[in-house]
Amino acid sequence: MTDVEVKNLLNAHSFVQGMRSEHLQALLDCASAVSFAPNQLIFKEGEPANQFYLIEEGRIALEAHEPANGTALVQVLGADEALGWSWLFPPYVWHFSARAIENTTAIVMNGAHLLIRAEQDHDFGYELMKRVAMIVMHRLQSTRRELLAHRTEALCP
Amino acid sequence: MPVTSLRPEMLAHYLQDAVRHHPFCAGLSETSLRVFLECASLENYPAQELVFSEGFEATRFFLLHKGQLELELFVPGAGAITIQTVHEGEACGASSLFGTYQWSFSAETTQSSELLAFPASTLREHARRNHNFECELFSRLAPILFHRLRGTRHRLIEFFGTIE
Repeated sequence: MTDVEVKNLLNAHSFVQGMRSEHLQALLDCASAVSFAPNQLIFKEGEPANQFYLIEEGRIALEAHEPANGTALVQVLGADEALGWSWLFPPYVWHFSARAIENTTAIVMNGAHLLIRAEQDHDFGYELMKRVAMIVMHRLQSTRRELLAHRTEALCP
Repeated sequence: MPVTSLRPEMLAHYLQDAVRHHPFCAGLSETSLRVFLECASLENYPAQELVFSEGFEATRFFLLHKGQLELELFVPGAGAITIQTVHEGEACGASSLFGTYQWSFSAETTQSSELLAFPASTLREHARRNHNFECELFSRLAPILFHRLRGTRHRLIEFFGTIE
């Protein structure tokens, strides 16, 4: 995929809506396109977290591995959603695992690169933090609803 | 003796001192700290008292000065389940500053508690007008939200069990 195509993909994602062009460029500087096959592991709980994903198409399952009980589905994420911000906060390791449910395309950005840019340009850092925080707030508000829905689905498919 | 029975000037001093030394305010610029100082009030709650209720309009932001709170979610058929505990020196009430301004949880004291309360509308107004205040406020709130989301997910997984 060419740089222009990555730029177009990024521009189309709601995460960057209303973002200033120099901040958009900072994201673009460490962005590339990536695709995942069904059931492919994207990242694994406990491993160092260094990627930020903006999903273009497809579906990704966020999973928790409970030693005693096996795997629990935390949330399903789809087109136009963001995934992975453990690189923003200590201890900088993935808290959950992510796995593609179906063929999925996304833009991936390097977390370390974003953190360095944020350090150099506090305005960019704040913009990034604020947008991620908004998503976290929405996830917080939808988590219970979605968990209940998935559970109902699992019990009465 | 509850601190609210102090003489007004002593109470004001007590309140200012509590805000100034709360960990949430550590490292704030003097201008931002003044915003918090000027709109702070002190609230006392006995044990097992509801401070706010899930789903209701969130109008205040809190710093816990003394005591302890539990954040709870109501799950149909199961009642209230505890998501996280808020300890002395921690903050709660980020919902009053984000999103739809509705409480994501209910908060109940587990012991008699002293809370520093701030009107969310005042903090939001300052954040709109002053970019530096906005940065200082939201960079402190983001880790709290992050921590709550993790706590909520884990607690609900524990509660509902695995589904695969």
